[in-house]
Amino acid sequence: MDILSYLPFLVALETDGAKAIGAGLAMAVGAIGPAWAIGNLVGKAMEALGRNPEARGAIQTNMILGVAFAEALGIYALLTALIIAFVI
Amino acid sequence: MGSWVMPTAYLLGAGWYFAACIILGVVVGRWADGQTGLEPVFTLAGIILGLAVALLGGIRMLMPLMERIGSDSPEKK
Amino acid sequence: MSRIRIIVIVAITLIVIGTGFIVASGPEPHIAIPPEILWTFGFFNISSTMMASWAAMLILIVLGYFATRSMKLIPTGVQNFVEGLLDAMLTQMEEVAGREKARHFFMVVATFFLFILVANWVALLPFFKAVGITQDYGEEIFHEIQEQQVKGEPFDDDHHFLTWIMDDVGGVKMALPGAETFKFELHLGEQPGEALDRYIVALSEQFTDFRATDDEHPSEADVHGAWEALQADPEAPKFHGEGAHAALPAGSKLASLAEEEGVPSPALGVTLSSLEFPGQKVGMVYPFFRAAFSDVNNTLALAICAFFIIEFWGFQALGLGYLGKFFMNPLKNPIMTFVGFLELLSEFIRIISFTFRLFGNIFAGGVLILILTFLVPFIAPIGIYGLELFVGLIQAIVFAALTLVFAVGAVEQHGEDHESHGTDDYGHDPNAPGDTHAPLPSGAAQAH
Repeated sequence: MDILSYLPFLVALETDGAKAIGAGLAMAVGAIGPAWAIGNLVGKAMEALGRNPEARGAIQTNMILGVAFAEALGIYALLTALIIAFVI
Repeated sequence: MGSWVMPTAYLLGAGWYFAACIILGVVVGRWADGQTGLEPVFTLAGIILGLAVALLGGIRMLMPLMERIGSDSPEKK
Repeated sequence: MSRIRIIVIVAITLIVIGTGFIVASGPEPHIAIPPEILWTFGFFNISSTMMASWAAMLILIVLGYFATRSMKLIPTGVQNFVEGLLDAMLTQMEEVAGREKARHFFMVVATFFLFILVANWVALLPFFKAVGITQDYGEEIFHEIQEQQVKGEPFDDDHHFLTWIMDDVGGVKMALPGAETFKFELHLGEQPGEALDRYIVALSEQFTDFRATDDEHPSEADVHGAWEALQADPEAPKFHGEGAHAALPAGSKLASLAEEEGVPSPALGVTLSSLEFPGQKVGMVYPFFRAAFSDVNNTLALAICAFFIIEFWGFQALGLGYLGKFFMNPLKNPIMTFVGFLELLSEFIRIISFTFRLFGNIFAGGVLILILTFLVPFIAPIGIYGLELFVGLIQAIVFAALTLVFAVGAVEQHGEDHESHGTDDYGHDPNAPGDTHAPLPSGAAQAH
């Protein structure tokens, strides 16, 4: 194991390279959860709509509300990424 | 030429008019600022005037399109 | 429209897009989370987002004035439009909240919806974030170094400056196509003299052909070379030493400061007290208008308003029994005590989530448009504008709908059986004595 080959990575921790890695990871990993949640939510809404097309208004309203909650978490991840990249 | 050409042309024309009015207003405002030296006043006035002219003219240009849409579907929003 | 006009318009569009790729390449965009402060009156700052909020308020007030000017029983024109809008909102609210509650909550929820919607959509007009005051940064950087020198301490924080090289065109400072970015940083713990040396070298590298051997810690030879290069070029920025400040233009901010302490430059051995830019300027555009809710202060204010209004409605409906939802007797019901405490906490967390949901969506959209405009000038932002329209609408709906839902939850009696729950989807309210709405077909009961 060559310790010296790790030196560039350690150097990156002190410069803007670390910021870039942090921002990228924050957004990338942070988007997984909301994406899965929203996909589930809309899928179930489609199923419900298919079973009962007349309840369209209620299903639509509640789906939008649920999607907003889930998307907020993704937006928090985006904000963290932006703050890491531009403010810190 | 299909039926998508006319609305596209209307929208493009109205869009250009809109943007050109605002840009012209801003440019005139900035030039007036450069001449007289009061920094924001003329620029803001240029923006507002340009926006007003753009809105009035743009809506007038888009009225035929909106009426056509309105008469196509029986439902009114 | 004749065929010729169509062809001409399409051709002009294509030509402009093509030249946009070539000509409209610009410097780096300046992204800042805090809003740019345009003017200051004592303690009162006017920022670009405040101007945009005022613009949205103005639009709503003007719309309201024209809608109610000469009200007729059968509405026409603007009144018709506004009445249709309000009716659509009320119908949607009645589905969630029931008839009386919807009317009780209508004013506040509709205001939230309309204000957020107008503020989001008006941010898509062409002049937002593009036209503004040109802040002269060249002198300001020197001013900061000077202030630190007066304090006599090293810098206590990093300060990044991102500026554009602007030209003076007929009295107007603007960044021409192909303008360059000029970046400078003041480091933590640096002495003002060292910062001045670095600034001299940076300016010289930007404006002349001089290249230093080391940008971060310039040697004495570097600084001397930079100084010579700056003095040689008539268009380059000029530093003046003490006694030379009479040469400054009278209104310049630095003329009044030149009586104060100059900054000694360790490498050059002289004290410099002023700086002027005869040729190109170093500056940044502070836009007049910026999307009203791309500012955390703005969204936080709305979220706090929503919080207080929901609590007020809760107290109004239930009296002090409203507190009985959160504070339960630990002896009778130990689990519910904990749940009650969590519900109290969630009331406050709602403020945070309201704030950041709206802020994140609008700010991220603005940053996306800005960066795309600087990367691929005319084509890429087109699709993003469509997305921004949609996102603006959805965020307005979500804010208003969530306020409504939380208000309904706050007003509910504990254990109530949802008496006035809402209409079923044929537009009939099962509990209303007589339905003044005629039974509507289900397609029109939901307003799209």
